[in-house]
Amino acid sequence: MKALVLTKPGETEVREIEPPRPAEGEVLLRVGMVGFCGGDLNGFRGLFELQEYPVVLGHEVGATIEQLGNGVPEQFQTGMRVTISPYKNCGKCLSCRRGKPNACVDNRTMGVRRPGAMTRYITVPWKDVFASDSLSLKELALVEPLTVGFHAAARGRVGKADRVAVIGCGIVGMGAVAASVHSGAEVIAVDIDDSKMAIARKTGAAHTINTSKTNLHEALLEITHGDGPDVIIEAVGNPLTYRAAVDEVAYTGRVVYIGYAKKPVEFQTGEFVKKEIEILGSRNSLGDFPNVIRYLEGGTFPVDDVVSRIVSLDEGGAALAAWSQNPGPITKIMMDLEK
Amino acid sequence: MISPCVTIALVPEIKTGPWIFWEPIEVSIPKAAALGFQAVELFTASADALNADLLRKQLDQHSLRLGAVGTGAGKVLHGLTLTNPDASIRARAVDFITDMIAFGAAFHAPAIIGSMQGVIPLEVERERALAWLADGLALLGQRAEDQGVPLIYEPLNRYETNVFNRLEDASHFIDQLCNVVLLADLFHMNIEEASVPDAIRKAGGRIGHVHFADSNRGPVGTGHIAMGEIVTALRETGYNKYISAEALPFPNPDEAAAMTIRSFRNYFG
Ligand SMILES: [Mn+2]
Ligand SMILES: [Zn+2]
Repeated sequence: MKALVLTKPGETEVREIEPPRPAEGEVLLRVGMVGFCGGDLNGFRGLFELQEYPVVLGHEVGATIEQLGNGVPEQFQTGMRVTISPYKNCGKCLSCRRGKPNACVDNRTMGVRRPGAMTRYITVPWKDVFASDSLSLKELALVEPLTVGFHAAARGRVGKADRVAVIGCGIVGMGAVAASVHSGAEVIAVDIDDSKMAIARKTGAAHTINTSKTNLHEALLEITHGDGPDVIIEAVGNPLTYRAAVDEVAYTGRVVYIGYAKKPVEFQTGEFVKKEIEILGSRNSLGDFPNVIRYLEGGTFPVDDVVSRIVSLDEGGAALAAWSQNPGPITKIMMDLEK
Repeated sequence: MISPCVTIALVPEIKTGPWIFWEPIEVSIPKAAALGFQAVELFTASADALNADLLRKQLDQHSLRLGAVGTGAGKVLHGLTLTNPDASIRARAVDFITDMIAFGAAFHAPAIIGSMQGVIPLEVERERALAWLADGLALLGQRAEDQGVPLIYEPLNRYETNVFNRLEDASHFIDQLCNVVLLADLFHMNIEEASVPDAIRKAGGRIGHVHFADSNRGPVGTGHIAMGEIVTALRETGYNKYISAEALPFPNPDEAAAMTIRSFRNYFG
């Protein structure tokens, strides 16, 4: 069967690989849709330090159960539509022992440090499989990236009384917008692209700020009546937005960082102390799959607006290269294995 | 939201049981609130043993909720169970639990059936006893549903019952019933399950309440349960209800409660 392999930075190849068989406790999945992740983009650009080469790409999966290995509990049946948690934690480190496998010191994500899902069949341990009988394969492929934003909102303890600014409205930021709206917060979506602002509005953001046209500081003060947002979720990973989060958050507010800054960032650390803010990192997701599945089942997320482009396996490499050339307006590219 | 809950026992006859607080609610509810618990689980002698107005006043004043009510006093004090061969005793067990359901439902809290499931006597055929239990739970599940609460069934370890000891067996049983969910008690599960996290994942959405205790039934943190994976599994089932400390009050209730809330924050914070 064919698979899209990232062979080295800037290079992909369609290779022939052996179809897998489900071992004890594993489920064989027929892959339907796979999303391209910002991590795939960074791996392609050679900017993701954890990326291994060569590796089959893909970890945002919508699939159908094809076959069950021995010892898989009966809640799983062939034909069910599912998504998967693509993480694999060590089970031994302090994070794992504390029940926070998302912060495992030796996490191995599919398509990054072990083979991914951009191929026809994959096998997965049953405990990583999450089913929904009402979501489409395309919606199921959106679950994992949205869990990342949901986890960030949970880290920020976002609730009804909060005004939350989300900086960066790619799919991860959009997940944070969705989760915050879902928690009853008043959400301010911040980006530099009008099409993403429009999607954030559809997702339920009450306000949008396009910082290529508007001054962020003034706009936030006006919306929050001079207080600043209670929570700022940073989903870009740029030194400017990293600093802006600390500068703009309200006194005694919370800052949540999801974006990976690729360079050192300078801070006015006096702001940390003076405002007595909480600064929280947020990595991958933690138990958010069922929440996101339920949220998507509610039907309020603008799925078709978010998925900018659908390609075949053969077109995957070129699509990744094109995305790398022009990342601006694209929220999500997906590979349709039926195409 | 997964939230922390703590047990309060108001039945002096069972002073050796696994409950954290033993003082009257005027004392224990303020203590629970001050530590950061969001709910209390009550173990009372009967449905009318506690003044409901007083309870409401205490809960409101301290912004706590009633998380659940235990029904075990029906067995411990009155010898009632849902699998007793004597039909009149089973009927009285159903009445006792019915009253407890109504007591809890007034506070939106479900009732828990643990020791009230009884022990199947040697001379009684298992199928027969399970049919009695199913009849009782079906009726009680319906009564609970009429009042807008689930009914919680708790598998216990082998030294306490021979009815169901593992979540998976209990799952098959409750799947034939309506409005009955499972209680995952980590102490019982540590004794009975091959893998506590896998058992939790398999039971999935059937889990409606969790009893939080360590391997020695002390507060979590005083034993050797590998809690990390269990917490991960609970999260992955989408569990969003109470984590209720039903544990022995070692070394004393106040320290056991403080230890529990620290553990809760470590794992669920
Ligand atoms: Mn228990
Ligand atoms: Zn680890």
